[in-house]
Amino acid sequence: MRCCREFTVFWLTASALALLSVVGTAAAGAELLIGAARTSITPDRPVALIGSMHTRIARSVHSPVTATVLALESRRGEQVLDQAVFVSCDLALLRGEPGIFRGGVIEKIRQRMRDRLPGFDTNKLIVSATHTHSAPAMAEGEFDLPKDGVMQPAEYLDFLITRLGEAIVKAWQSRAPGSAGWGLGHAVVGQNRRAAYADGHAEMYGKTNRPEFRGLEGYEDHGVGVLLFWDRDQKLVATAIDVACPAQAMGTGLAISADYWHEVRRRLYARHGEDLVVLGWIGAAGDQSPTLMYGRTAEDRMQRLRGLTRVEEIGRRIDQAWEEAYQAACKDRRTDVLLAHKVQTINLPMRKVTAEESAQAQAQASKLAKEPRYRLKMQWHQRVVDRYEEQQAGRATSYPMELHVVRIGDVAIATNDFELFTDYGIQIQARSPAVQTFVIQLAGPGTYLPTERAVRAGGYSAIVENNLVGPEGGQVLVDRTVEVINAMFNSAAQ
Amino acid sequence: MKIITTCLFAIALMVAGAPAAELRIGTATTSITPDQPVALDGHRGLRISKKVESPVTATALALESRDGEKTLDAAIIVSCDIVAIRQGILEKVREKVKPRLPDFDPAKLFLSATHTHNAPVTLEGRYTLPESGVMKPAEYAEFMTTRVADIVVESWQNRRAGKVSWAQGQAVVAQNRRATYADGTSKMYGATNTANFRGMEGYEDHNLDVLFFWDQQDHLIATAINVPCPAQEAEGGLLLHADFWHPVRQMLRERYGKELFVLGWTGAGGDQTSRPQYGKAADERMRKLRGLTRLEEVARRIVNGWEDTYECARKDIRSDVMLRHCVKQIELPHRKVTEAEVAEARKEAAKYAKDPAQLWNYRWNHGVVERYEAQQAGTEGSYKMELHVVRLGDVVIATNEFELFTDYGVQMKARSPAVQTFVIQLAASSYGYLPERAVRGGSYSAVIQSSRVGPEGGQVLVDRTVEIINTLWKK
Repeated sequence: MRCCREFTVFWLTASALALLSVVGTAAAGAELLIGAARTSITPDRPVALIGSMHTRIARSVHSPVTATVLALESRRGEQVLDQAVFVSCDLALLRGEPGIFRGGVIEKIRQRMRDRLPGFDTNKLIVSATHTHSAPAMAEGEFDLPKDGVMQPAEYLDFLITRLGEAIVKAWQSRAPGSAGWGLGHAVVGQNRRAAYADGHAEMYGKTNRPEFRGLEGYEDHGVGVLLFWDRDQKLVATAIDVACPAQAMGTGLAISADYWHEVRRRLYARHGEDLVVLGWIGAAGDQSPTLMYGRTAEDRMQRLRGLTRVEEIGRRIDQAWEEAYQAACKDRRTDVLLAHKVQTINLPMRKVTAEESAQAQAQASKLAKEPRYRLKMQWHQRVVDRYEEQQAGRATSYPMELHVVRIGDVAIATNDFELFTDYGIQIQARSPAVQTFVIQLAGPGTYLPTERAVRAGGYSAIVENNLVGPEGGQVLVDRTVEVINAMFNSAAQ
Repeated sequence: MKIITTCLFAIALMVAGAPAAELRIGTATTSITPDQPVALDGHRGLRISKKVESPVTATALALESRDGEKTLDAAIIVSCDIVAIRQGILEKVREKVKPRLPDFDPAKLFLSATHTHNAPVTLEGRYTLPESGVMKPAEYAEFMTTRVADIVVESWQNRRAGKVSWAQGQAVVAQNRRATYADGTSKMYGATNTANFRGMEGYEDHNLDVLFFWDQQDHLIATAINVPCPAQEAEGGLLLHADFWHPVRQMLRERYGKELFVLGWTGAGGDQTSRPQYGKAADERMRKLRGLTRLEEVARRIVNGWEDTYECARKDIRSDVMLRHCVKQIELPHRKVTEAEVAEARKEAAKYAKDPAQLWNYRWNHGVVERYEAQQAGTEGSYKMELHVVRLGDVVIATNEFELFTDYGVQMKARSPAVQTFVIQLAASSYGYLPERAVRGGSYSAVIQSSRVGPEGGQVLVDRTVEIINTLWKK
């Protein structure tokens, strides 16, 4: 009997070990393939710039605008497990025709790619904008432009898509086994740009030296998330940097500029080589700006003492944060990392337009209609009227947003279409089970997405003209994003 | 009268155009670490210290501007590793200093607290202490005030002609510690990984304002660092320690000289903590990869921010700087206690009344009842706060007695004409939390028990402070 019992124990143990080895073999052994490329998307002719309500024609280049591509694929042998291609563009927005959700810039790029990359699911392409206000416009009809001597928006769009296509193909075809790492640094770059006052109202870029000033309305996120990718020879080939602040230190000048990302790249190239591909990701930063809301005199003085411009100073800070993260992340490079990429369309309730808002918008649109130079602003108001009509007709009640959630090892990356107010990014980060969560805004054509407190206070960025989706939709966005992240991390654990 | 005269004199000098003045700087530091077990201040429950993890110290900075032999103005600022400058402590120090420094006006002396929650209690009656084996608060207060008086005297007597510079860096240390939820409530240290979490209630100030003091040979002798975050990283437990200021001082002394005097000034940080409120896993991983404890990580950030400004500060060292110190008593309206609040407080106080171990909780609630009764009797009056505003060259230092919510500090900085504005909370005395938007959200630090002065008084504080700063800048 004892002999039988011993045999049974032996048999069970051996079976368990055999089972574990099968499961272990199945789970481990995924190879991460990494490819990267970059391209200039700087036009060679004068072009209209997007980012302000009035027409600006750029006739010079402060710093070239570029697009950088990171291609990731996980494989087990010949079997493709998952894929993701990230494209970061030094652009203001990814909006084609104003107010159009689909058929926009990203869809155009995907259409071009479909035949050029067999084996790549073009739905796994993520394109995002750094929100520089010094990049070309690509939507016709927004500005009153001369016909000659200026590259028209549609022509620029075509040029852009061609260039992006080339870079995407190059990155995809160059993918090779490598390793990844991640880290967190800190840089004080973004400042909440909405000043709140005693009577409860808020103003974007409102004055803060007034007796009625009560504080900056919202939060700031000074974490700098860093992803690192090395090739098989341990050479750093690409890095993605997530900063919760739009690239707007240059303001609304008359030269093309990549804003602070140019300075960041310049510094990183100096240490890690010109071949390094640097993706700039903007976190949830709809209510942020690199423009200081107070304390400018102190900052100006420090910049003078350092001999730096504001753009250079911001680049310096981000570079320092990157180095902080890099030094630590180097100690924890991973080759066997799980790559998973979920793409989902989530429907976000649109912000309702009230009758009063529609009437006010109509009045403004009518006033501006006669002046071609106010076309963009007129359209901005008119769209509110159009939305109200759609709303009353029971149409267009939700905004279909393409959500991407990518898991790379212990890290989650979650995108959204909007200039997403920072509180939402904090919610996602706080509720995410990932060790680090990167939020990428403006990965689609969206508008500002304000918080409840911002809507109550009003002011540009929180009024109905600015928001297709309001706080109700913002909460759905957070909840659905967290749900998808949780599912990804929980299913892997199981 | 004396205070008004002091301010009028300062203003008159401003209007007349102050002559070139010599800046004299003196420094001293002392340990205020007791050599016996002592009750630790800052928590509801009694904690008796078991061991000294890092010494708690006090550091004095004496400033005098002179025209020949004539003193134009003066200030002695003492930074203390203590939770708060409790009632009577400053007065005791001034009494001890006065006979020893006949040429110094004790009104120009103030103390500030770093708010470490692991330093001794200095006020009787906060906890029920064991009869023996523990240094009593009054005894510790006597020890501490003697030590502090000694360094006040020492710093004043060793002042020499020197120079100063200022710079602003950044350090991501402060984190707003009040989580808000979908129902509009807030909670200090509330969970942030819940479905009803909506965001951190308030702002964070990540600027690091620094003063550098040099001798005539441009050697660095002292530095004052303004961090808008209380020193509460490692609060709790039974170890006596100076929290993150200890490793900050250690790191700076290792790199810039063992004799370097380091003053820790806590900015408007009533709603702040250095402990991450979200993203803890990422923070912990990074810290482990760096091989640092949390205290060391916080210190690393402060020292990095300080070092980031050092070379800039070296480029703009000033010897001829204006020093003007205005000391004023300002009246702040008390926060009104409502009927609902006093009813709740009465109930809570009754619950704790008979348990000596709950003395802190009893007093916290019973204080509301006393305030309500005074309010009803019309005897509550307003709170008279000692405000110090010190102009030093292009910068200004402004104090307050509260755990001042960050929004108020930002208001002062935004409205101040100074190139840099150093706000020092918990200075001269302590009078509780002073919340702003937080009152709507409730919870500890914003409820009536926590704040004797509320937003109305906070706004008066800001307005009066800015008013005085403006007078020091008028041409």
